Amino acid sequence: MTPDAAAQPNAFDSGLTIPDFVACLSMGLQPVGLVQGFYCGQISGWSSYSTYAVTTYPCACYEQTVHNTGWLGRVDALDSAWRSAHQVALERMLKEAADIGAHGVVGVTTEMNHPTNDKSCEVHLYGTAVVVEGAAAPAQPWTTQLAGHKLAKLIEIGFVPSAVAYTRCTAVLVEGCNMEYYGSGRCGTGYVIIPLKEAHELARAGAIDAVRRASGDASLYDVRLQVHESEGSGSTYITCSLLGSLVRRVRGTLPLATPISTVSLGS
Amino acid sequence: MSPDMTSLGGTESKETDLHQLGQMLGIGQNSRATGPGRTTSDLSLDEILLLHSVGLEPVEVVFGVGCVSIMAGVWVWSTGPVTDAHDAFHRALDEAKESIRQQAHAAKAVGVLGVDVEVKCSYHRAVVVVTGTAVRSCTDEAGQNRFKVSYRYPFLCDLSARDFAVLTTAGWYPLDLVAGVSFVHAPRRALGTAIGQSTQNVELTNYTETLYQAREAAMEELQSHISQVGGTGLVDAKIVDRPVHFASHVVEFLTYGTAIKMLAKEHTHPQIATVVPLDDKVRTFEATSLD
Amino acid sequence: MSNIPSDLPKDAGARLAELEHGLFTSDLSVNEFLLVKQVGFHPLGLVMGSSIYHIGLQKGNWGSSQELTKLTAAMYNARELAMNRMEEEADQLGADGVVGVRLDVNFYEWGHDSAEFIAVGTAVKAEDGNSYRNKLGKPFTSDLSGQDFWTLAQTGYMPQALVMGTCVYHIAHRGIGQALGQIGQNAELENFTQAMYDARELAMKRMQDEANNVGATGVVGMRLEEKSHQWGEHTIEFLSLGTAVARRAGSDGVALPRPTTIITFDN
Repeated sequence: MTPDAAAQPNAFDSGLTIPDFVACLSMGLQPVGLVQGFYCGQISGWSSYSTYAVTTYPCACYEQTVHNTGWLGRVDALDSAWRSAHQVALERMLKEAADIGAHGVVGVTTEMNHPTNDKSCEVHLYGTAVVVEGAAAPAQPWTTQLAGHKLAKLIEIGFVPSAVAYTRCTAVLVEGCNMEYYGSGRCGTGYVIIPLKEAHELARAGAIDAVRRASGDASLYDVRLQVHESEGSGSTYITCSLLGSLVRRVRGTLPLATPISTVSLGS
Repeated sequence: MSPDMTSLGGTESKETDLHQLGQMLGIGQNSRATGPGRTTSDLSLDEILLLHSVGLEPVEVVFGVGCVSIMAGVWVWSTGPVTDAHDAFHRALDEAKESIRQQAHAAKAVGVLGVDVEVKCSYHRAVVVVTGTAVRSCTDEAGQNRFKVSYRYPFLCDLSARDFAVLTTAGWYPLDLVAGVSFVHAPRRALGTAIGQSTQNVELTNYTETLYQAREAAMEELQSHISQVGGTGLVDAKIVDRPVHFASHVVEFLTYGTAIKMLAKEHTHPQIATVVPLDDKVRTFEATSLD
Repeated sequence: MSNIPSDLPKDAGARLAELEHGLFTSDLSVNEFLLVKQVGFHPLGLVMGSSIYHIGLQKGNWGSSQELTKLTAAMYNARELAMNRMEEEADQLGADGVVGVRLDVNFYEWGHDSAEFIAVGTAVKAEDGNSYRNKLGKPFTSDLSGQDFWTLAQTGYMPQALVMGTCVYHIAHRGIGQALGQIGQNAELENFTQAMYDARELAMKRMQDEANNVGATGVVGMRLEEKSHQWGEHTIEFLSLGTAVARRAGSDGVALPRPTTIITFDN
């Protein structure tokens, strides 16, 4: 909110589209202002390159003889930088919302520079702060990517929004030996490459579990998983980024009115 | 005492008043969660609503990964199909399907919807990753399952939840993901023939025959898999038809989808109304360059 | 089992035999599948025709605009081969028609001066036992989507054939004298305009001739595509495509009730 606007009573600015704005008013959600949180940080060289949850496996080359071990684990260096960048940006947006007395923030948009960027992380969160008429303010404003009729549908199926969620998990696979790396170690077709499979699973499971553990009694909906794989010099990094909405179920689902099937003749 | 959420909103199936929903939001924030939480889903809200209308609810995001080796040297230009790549792909797909089924089974799901299939073939491996949302039946007030169909093991369906809801309402149910694939070397043209053909407009019958053969083989495989899982058909087949990016003389033809079966006595037609949207989406002018 | 038409590669026979016995495949979306069923047709299977064609060299006269008849013939023949093979597969299935036909042209690195022409569609058969084949006794073909097929069928018109006309035209380069004379003026490039006009007319007329041959009363969903493929910028193929239709005997007028007018409120 600009200082001039903030000075006027009952003024608000909102990033909502017109249909969403109308729907919010009908629901009794009064917009009070556009709030945002921003964080831009530099990622220092990978000195804090901690790996954990490491498991080793024997490399299986010609005729299954073992002559080296490879390992598979999680790498935290970039992940923690990105996770805390998002956390700080979110907290800043929540603070702005709380300062103007908002109950929650709707229509939250998350913008980040590319997650494979290893020099800097920038996270920009913004949304429209709202007050729910006739309700008490919660301890901390809730946040959701939804607004308008979509938010109404969420409540109709029995959930209320809790927070926007973001996490990232990177698994690294270091191949056991040159033979394995160059692929010629496996001289046949059809062997299941267990370490690579486990690396993929580790990255995804790590991301989903991280959010689950931090979510309390909330459920994670509208999950978007983005997986990036990079290979080089005998090691493979698999990074899984997850964006989603944390929601809490507070009642059973209301029965859905039967939707009408239509064929559009306009296009 | 937490406010009574059940008193708000009607139980008849008509649209709930928007204002009441806003009230629920205010009250809900300050009340405790009910029912088992901790579910995860990658379905959109609209899809969840439609799923509820056919008696299912999401449980968990599940995934399966299959990585299988391919022998070095199979991609060197020769003739005929690249059977190693074909076998590796199928093995990887089977591994991935088995993993995702295990996760779905552990979540006590009846099946997995919205499965996204990612296939990556590289020089010495085939990797298949499948991701979707495991779903289970909702229970009504009497504790009965609202989704009446039971499956011996979780079904896999690459249709969206919306397509699933519409299809099952018509009487068709998904069984399993099936695929047919074919990798084939393009034939080499002898130099003499090359020059001889340079000024004529003529069909290159050996090329046609080779690619045709490859495609037919993949589609044949798809069909036999559909029968094997007990299905009678397949809709929304995805077709990938392209040269392999790291070995462009090999053409890859992949077709996959969800095998379905009619479980009702006969197909139920949906009631369809026609509408004319006044949204100005009609394309009346388009300028394109001749490049 | 019906005789396999001699032009189809032998591999197609076994697959088509299976499709005759109740198993169906299709790349129709779920919506299209249900709409096609609503019209009273059931999908039989994916049918496909392809042809790899060598396009001979033909250079146009630098100074004059003219049709490159050899190239036109080549493009037309190649597509015809692909479409005919697709129709043969449909014929062997006992289909009444093929919907959702897609015509693609692929260029491969290893195929110098040659291209692959592919026609893919879903063969369908009427469930009421009547024949819906066109006047030539062949399955109808159409590139109409499931939605358009349904809408058309409400009016009593049925597709007869996917018709096309093609013309490969060489546009004259402007003579140097002419170019110098026009510096600084806004002037129409007359020979360019005339050439484009002639080329389009030729393409559309050939398409209409095809429509007459199948005894159609009109062409719907007509579009004109312009492609240079790999010939450089002064040689353009004009391809005119449409679906020839005719009213089914015994059907009267439009059966669609007046559609509801709506304004959608979501983005």
